[in-house]
Amino acid sequence: MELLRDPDADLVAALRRPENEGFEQAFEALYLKYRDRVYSVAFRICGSAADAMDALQEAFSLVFRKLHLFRADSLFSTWLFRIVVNCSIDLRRKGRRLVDAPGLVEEPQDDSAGPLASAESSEFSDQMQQAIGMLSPKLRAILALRYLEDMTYEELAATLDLSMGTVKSRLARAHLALERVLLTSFPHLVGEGADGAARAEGGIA
Amino acid sequence: MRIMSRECLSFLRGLHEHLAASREGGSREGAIPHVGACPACARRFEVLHRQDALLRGMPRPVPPERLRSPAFFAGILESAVEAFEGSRQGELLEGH
Repeated sequence: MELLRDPDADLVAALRRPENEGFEQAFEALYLKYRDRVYSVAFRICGSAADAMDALQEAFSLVFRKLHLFRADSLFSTWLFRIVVNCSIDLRRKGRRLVDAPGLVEEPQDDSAGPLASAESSEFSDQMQQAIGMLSPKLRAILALRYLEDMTYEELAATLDLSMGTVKSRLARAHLALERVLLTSFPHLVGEGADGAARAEGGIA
Repeated sequence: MRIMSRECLSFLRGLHEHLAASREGGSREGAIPHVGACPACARRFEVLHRQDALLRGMPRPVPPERLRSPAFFAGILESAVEAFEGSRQGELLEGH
């Protein structure tokens, strides 16, 4: 597959020369560009805002420390998200924190639809996050990259350093595992009830 | 647990392609021949189609304000530079 020019190539080049003036600006530019996306993926995997922040901090630190190992045979973003996933999984495995109190870590919803709708949406989001949190870290990671970063099979394979076959199998396993969790712990989200069906058909804005 | 045929497994492994095709509209049975031929996979596809919509419906987590604070970034930069300089010192010492 032909690799297109990495949109971050110039910033990465500047980052390789810490003695130069443009270094700090390059680091900041990459941080500003990716911090929210990195946080989102880390949060989905860690299940806790505090751990997600720690994973983000560790990931950006590692980017700098390990940049000499980045051979630019993939996009910088692919390499970055691989580091983020590994940092998040490591943190999660250490199990230092459990999930934060529901409602504290998710987006304050747009109240234009009314406080009740906003609360329902926040509850839905909390419950889905709890369900995802019951999966193994690897399954959480692949769902996070697929649904937050909208990665294709190819991008998932490159980011997770897996074969395409493994990506497909793991994604299918993630869905089947989530199906079991939802049916067991949150049947109203997937059942025939009005809430689950309506959300499923229309999605939650 | 039902025993899956090779076609069922193949269908599941290509699930996201099928979900994407399904989101673009049209008859699922027509677009995905296996769904038309296998009632068990057709039921599973409906369930996973709903799950796909749930996952897509989740709002993105919004980071704490601390993420946007200049002090937080400065801390990351400082620790990264320190670690880098530490590793460079180590390399220099190893060179002696």
